Amino acid sequence: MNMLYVLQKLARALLTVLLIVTTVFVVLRLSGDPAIYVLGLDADPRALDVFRQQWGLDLPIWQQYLQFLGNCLQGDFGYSYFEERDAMTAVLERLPKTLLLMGITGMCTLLIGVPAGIYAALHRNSWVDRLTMLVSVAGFSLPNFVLGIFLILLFSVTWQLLPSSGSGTWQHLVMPTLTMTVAEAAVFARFTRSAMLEVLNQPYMRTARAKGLRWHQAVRRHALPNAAIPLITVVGFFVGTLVAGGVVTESLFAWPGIGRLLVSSVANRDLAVVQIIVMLIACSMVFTNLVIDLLYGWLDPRVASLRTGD
Amino acid sequence: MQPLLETLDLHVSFATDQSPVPVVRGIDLKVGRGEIIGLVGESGSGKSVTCMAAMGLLDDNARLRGEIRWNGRKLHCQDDDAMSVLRGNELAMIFQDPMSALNPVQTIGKQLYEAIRLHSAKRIGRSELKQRATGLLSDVGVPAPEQRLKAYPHQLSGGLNQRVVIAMMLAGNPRLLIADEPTTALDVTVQAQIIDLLRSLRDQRGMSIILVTHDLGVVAETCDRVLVMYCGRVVESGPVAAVFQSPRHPYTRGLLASLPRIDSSDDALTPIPGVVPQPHEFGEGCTFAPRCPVASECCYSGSPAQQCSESDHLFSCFSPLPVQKTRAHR
Repeated sequence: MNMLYVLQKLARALLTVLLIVTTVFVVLRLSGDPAIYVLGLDADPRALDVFRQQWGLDLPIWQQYLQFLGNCLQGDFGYSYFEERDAMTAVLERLPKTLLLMGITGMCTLLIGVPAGIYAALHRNSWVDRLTMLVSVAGFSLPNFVLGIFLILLFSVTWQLLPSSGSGTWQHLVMPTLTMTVAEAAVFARFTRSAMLEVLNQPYMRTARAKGLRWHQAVRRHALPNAAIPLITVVGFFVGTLVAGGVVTESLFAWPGIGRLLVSSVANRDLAVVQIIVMLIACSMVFTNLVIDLLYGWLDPRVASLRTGD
Repeated sequence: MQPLLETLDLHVSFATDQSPVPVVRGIDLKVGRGEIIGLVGESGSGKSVTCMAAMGLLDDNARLRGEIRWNGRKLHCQDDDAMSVLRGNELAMIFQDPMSALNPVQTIGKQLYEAIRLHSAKRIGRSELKQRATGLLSDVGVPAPEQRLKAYPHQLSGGLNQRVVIAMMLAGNPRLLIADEPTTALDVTVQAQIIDLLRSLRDQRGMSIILVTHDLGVVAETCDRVLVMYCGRVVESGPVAAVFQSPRHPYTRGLLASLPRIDSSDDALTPIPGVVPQPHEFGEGCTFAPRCPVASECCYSGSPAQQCSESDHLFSCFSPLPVQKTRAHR
């Protein structure tokens, strides 16, 4: 992999971030006057003016945009009207909770989904394969708010084993992660299986066997590395769905992470907080995809040489 | 002399949701030491399946009957552990599309090293590995072999990749190489080079080769003996010269007649009418009868027994063509 490939990818990632920041800015400004939301429709017009002046909302939109960009570059992401403190602090305070949830979900998903998919593919048409696929269809067709409510009914209401909301102990973690893991692991199992099946049918697997490799050796050395390539792409989407699923799940279980903060901030028209969260999510997606692109170039030599005309 | 590879009344069928599909129906094949055997026939005649059976690489749903012998000893083709000891060491195989026959994410070198390590009893150091791999590549005529070790398959041409695959298969110094349409995916000029290479492997290493091909010209030039297969059976077999000069089975004549000839003024080719029947359409009689110009009543009722023309020229037909002293086709 060469430097040019890395630089290309980096430049593209930066451009994407700028585009996202701009979009967020435009969308939020277009969606209504924050002064009215904060002070109320029947507020004194003079109070509204003062509010707008205070937050720079009276300036032309392009000036607001430049100011916003400048502030972002200096690490100033605005002030939360609602919480009445630095918006970034408010978000960062919630971030660890969300990362904890995402981390555990991500790990469980990979640890369950990928091996299940590999096993199913290697034992194609066996009852294990069929069962895995059946469970997987059920898993990903169940919306996570339904599954979550079902779990609450079962574990909190009926059996009273687990707390239905809040955070703090490991018991609080069980239902939110389970809710998110089921769908994600199902998707991963399915995708891993089809990626493996695709690879197992490739002529190079036959060659590997013809030169004397045993089945498990051929699978380990030739099938798995090749099947990992399409799988890496899904991991990119996975981060996205994890965030989206997080918003729902956090709200459902009153998990004090940024997903829930996002929902309440949108409701409160707390522009700065929404901006930060959306940008944070977007940047994490861009970053994941950047890492994936680089991994791709490393895993698949054809990609790196294609893109740069090597 | 004992043949190297021998199949005795080999049957292969594939289990499906409905009835099993018979693909190979009683093949007797003998490959002697240093011999090049041609397997010809239309697609679906069971050529590849026969080869894969000998390699022990058939899918799990394959059912085998009959016997395959290696050096006089019965091969347990569906015992993967037993076969993987032989594969690459005693018998090896190359395939149709060299561009996809190599792992795309590993360098040529890495894949060669793997083959070399696999077939050596002791651990080999890095430098010796490299030296041996370079040696193998230059044996099969890859130019600048040392630089190729670092290349990936997509950076090489189809012909070069096929050479690399052959080099990889030579790592264990096998006594039989099965080449399943090794040149079908290659340019004509490259085809000739690969065929030359195969021939030189036989000449220099005394290797036996089974050459599966559609190309009767290649068979005529390269092979010692030829087996003409149709719907899972051998309809005619024998020394190439005898079979091509005086085909006794109408199917063989049909194949030869459907070839374009440079010394003919007639532009039209003579195709064999009809299509190859599917396995579920195989009836009682000779499977070629519906397409056969000389078929008679009896051809539909029973399978013809094998007959012997002069010196091990065998054919199975109720109304064989007369022996020709000169070229039969045209």
